[in-house]
Amino acid sequence: MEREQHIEVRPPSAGGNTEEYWLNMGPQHPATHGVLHLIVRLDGETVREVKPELGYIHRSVEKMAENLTLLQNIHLTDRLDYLSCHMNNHAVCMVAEQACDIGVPERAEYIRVIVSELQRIQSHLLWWGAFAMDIGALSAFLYGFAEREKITDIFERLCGARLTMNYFRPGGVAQDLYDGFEQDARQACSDILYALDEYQRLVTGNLIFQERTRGVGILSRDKAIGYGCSGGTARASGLDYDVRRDDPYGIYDRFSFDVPVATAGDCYARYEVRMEEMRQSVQIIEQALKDLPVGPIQAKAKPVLKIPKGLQVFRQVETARGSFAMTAIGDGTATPLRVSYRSPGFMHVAALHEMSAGFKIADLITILGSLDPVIPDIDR
Amino acid sequence: MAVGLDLLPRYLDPLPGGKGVVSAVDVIVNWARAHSLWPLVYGTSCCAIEMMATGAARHDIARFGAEVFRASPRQADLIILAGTLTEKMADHLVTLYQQMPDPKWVIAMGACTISGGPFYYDSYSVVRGADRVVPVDVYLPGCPPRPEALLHALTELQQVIKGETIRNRRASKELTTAPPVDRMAVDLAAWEEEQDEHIAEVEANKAAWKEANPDFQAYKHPKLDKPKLEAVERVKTPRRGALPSALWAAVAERFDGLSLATCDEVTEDALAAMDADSEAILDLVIDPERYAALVGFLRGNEATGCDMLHQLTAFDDGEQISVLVHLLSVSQGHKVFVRCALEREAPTLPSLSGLFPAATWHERETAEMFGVVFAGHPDPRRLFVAEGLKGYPLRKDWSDPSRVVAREL
Amino acid sequence: MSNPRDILGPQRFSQSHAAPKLIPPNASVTKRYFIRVVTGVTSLLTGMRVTIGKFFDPRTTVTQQYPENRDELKMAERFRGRVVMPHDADGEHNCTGCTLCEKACPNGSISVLNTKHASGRKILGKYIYRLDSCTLCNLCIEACPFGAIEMGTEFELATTRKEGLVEILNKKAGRL
Repeated sequence: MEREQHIEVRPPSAGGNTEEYWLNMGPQHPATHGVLHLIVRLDGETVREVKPELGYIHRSVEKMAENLTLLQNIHLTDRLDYLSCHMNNHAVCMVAEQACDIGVPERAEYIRVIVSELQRIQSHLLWWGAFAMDIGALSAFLYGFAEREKITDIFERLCGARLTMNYFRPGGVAQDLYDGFEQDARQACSDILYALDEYQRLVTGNLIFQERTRGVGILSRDKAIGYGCSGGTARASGLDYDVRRDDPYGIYDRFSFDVPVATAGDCYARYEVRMEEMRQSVQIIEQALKDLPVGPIQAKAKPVLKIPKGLQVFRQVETARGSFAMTAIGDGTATPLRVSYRSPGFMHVAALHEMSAGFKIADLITILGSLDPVIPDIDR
Repeated sequence: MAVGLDLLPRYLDPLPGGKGVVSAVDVIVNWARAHSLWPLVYGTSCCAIEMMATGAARHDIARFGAEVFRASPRQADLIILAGTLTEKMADHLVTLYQQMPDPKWVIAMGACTISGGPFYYDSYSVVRGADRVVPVDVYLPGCPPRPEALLHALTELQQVIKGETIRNRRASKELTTAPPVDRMAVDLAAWEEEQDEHIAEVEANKAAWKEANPDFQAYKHPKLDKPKLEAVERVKTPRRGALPSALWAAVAERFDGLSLATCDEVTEDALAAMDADSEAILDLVIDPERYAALVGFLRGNEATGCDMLHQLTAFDDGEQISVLVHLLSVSQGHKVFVRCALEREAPTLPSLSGLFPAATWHERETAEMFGVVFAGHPDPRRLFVAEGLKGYPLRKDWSDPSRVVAREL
Repeated sequence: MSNPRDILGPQRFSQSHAAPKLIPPNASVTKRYFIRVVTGVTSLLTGMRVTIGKFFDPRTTVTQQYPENRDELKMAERFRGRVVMPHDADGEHNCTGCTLCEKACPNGSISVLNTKHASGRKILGKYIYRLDSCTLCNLCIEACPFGAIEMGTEFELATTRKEGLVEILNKKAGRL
């Protein structure tokens, strides 16, 4: 489909007897996954143009970060992408570790991987439920959440909170695993695998679901690269890039796992890629649990973490949505000069127009749901 | 319905036994209202996930008759304010609230909606407490609160509702109007004033007290037995893609006078040191005139092959605004950074949106936050902040006391 | 222009699990219609078998009966409900007024206000804790060298009075 990249605000007069009109969707709309405002130009029910309007949950995190120490910044990143908060914390901790040359004990590295992958599953389960609900399968929402609560329970026992855990620290993690964690994690993994098979029967195989997702919202590989898409969204478009494998951090290079890649680039491809990612995460957790060493969980770090003046530290991690990156520039004091977060969903929503033009407005909901956006992460 | 009920006391109270009827009606009406609350689907951030969890199978808010989450405010009588309220969203919240039919209730869920929470200090866009905008009935602290805590808040609200009467309808709660202050400084100032006399007295009588109690031993607080931490040697992450020296060679061939942000002078030794450090990333410094040409070269050249714009942002070091471009080679795996320092007055750069569509939004954000003008940008509008914010918030010299509560302590 | 909604589009994902059999691309309209009817109904029934199985299986019940289960409901040991200051039997606490927690707090939820004892020694006067802005991040507890504050597991904190959310944690001034 050949279209101009940026269409002017005045709609061109449409041929025939239809008239194009603008529709505001959001910021308060149940299907926009938060407070995203989509300004949609419609021709009948066909979407001609989508202009996302951001900022309804812009909380000036980057400004605040300039007045907080790196340690205090960790808890703010919990609130960016609250479904991937362990991974976000990981990025901040790696920035601090690289800037101040802090090592991480082996056990802490393994714990980081295990909780990150558990959270990836947890986030995908929520996405699965919400995505299916967007399409109209309400029961899927209940199933996804019921399964998700099992991992939430583990996190609550481990970190003390259900959603905003604030668990990673520069040089390790805050607390050691509780007794019985390994058993709980293994149990959760086997439950997930069982549940995934159930989900395949419940939703994946359903013809309505198939017809609502196949061929809908196609994002080509070139567009995915051009818009800087990452994570499951990019991999569903054939972009074989996973930060865990291609820019390895922590100890991810020790585990063998597949990076699922699909080429169709439609909503169903994104769905399948994410479903497969959950299975791969289970594999990683099982490997990590097998090799989990004993030892300290936190390394000694300086009491005040200072980024040297003028140094730019960049670290990216693979969150459940894609590549999350933190860039910190130091000025030699306890608080950084500038902190910038690169959120994956930001680019996915930027590419929303490319995916949804030409489809019906009901498909727009499907497409947005398949991108798995977390609006506070996009707005920061 | 509500209007009709309001008239009941007027006609029934004068009649014998009428007061009892009104009370009975009260009980029935309140019971019905308390046990069939219809919440509005309203969630802005983290708390919304816990609100969804409350609605899901494990906690099942349906047991309280409140599972009918309505997407339209006209069908709802309860807003659970789940998540931070920003100034841009506040107007919309008021609209939603006004569209709800009476009687209506509000639960402020989470620290953000009670007082701004983590965003109380230094944030320029968050409303410090939803009760500045809509009247709140129940406050539920936590960040985010557990689903059970939300259910508890719901039972609290049911108690509130059951205490209401049609005789004199509950006056709407008042909004908070006092401007947000630096609470830590205010409390400290009040405390110091209160303690001035006491401390002066202590200072004056200190010597006498010590003479009177010669064998006074101060209590020594026992320290917690925290485990001693060992320093661990850091393992650097491996490199992927081309070496910095190879990338430098490709770029330096085409552009002269380039420098690196990480070293004063680009020498063989400096490049070799970068090659040896697997975490070193080529950080090119370029002048504004050749900025677009350099990024275009990095994208198009086979040796560099940076096909993805990972991020475009800027920083202010107090003197200059520097635009940062993070480029990534998806096929090879290496990263290249480009930075371009600009004057504070009217900084201008050519837009990269023709090269990378991804730059469009990043440039909008940078323009909004730093005031950098990107010439040729297809859609130069604000991205995040509502109209009315003056200046560029991420610049170091920006301040706006009407929006920001600065933390002094 | 090909119809983007065509479900016959190629699906090249290698690890496709339970995707239903696709309709052959060269099927006639009638055949296509009947295949869709049959696939639609069978796939619906497959899904409903899962839900009906759950409906009749009591082991899959996940709903917890809060508030009826309030007595058995035990929070995890590490659960962070709110900051508390433990007091011993004499009503003494362990806070020295060193303000480490105040400095560690990222959002100014703690104010440690000190006074002086007659001996001239600095002791804690008032420990203000603002539950209304606390994010329960645990940094204050990690910063405290004396174990004077802890995370309580209380979570039923909803209130109609906002003023009640700013509390003074210490019952009396610091120990000498």
